[in-house]
Amino acid sequence: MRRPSRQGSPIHTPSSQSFRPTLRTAAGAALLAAVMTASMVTGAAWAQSAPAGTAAAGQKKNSMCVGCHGIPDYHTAYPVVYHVPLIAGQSPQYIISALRAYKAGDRTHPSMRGIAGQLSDQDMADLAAYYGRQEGGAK
Amino acid sequence: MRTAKKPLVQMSASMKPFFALSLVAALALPATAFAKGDAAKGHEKAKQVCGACHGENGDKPLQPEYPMLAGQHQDYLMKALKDYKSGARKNAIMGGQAAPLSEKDIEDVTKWFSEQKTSLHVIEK
Repeated sequence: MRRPSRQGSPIHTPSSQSFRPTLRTAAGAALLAAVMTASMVTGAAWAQSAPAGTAAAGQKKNSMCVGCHGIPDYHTAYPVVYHVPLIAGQSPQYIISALRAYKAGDRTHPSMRGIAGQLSDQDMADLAAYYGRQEGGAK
Repeated sequence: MRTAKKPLVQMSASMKPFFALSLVAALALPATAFAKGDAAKGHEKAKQVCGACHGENGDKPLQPEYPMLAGQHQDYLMKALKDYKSGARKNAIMGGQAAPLSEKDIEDVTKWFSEQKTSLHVIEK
């Protein structure tokens, strides 16, 4: 069966997520809605609890970043080889969330775990402001 | 003792085109190593599974904590989805979203997103 396109459907509220066609059961839908709502609440709490960062401060703290993320088409060397992700232009909130996930161990890349583990909340906020999309992004 | 200036490996004229071809193939390999997948099928999948949170082109994250996928490197996106699927990368939402995706789905959908217009870039300093 061809699933209906989601184009044109409202996607602005967490509750509309529970009607996405890929979910097979109402229980699953309810669970996802709950998880997403919780994630949005914690996301908002994070945004409030995170210190304000400045791009100028971030630029002074990025010596650990440029060796990989500052080189176009650079690849990881260990443990698996692939392009290092593009980070400039992501939202500051996503960059903070990624760095926190490395620090917490939810993301496992060894170099990134080592680097993020040394960063304070203020460092993360500053780096996020520097690489985040409002600072020199193409948008 | 060798006196004549003969090449160490003598290549016959008939071998030369094959040698040239293999050089071309070897040079082309790195560029195509991750260019797998069917972007059109990936687009369909993106509409069904990914679009609600990331935008069907991967350029409209629903929440600021969600990443922009448009224009991201395909091999990185594949690594991310496979790690979510295996549980190596932990995220309450993405673990569930990646679980039902096949290897082919992952190739297709990452191919689609990697080819979309993006504001992602490299800051070199």
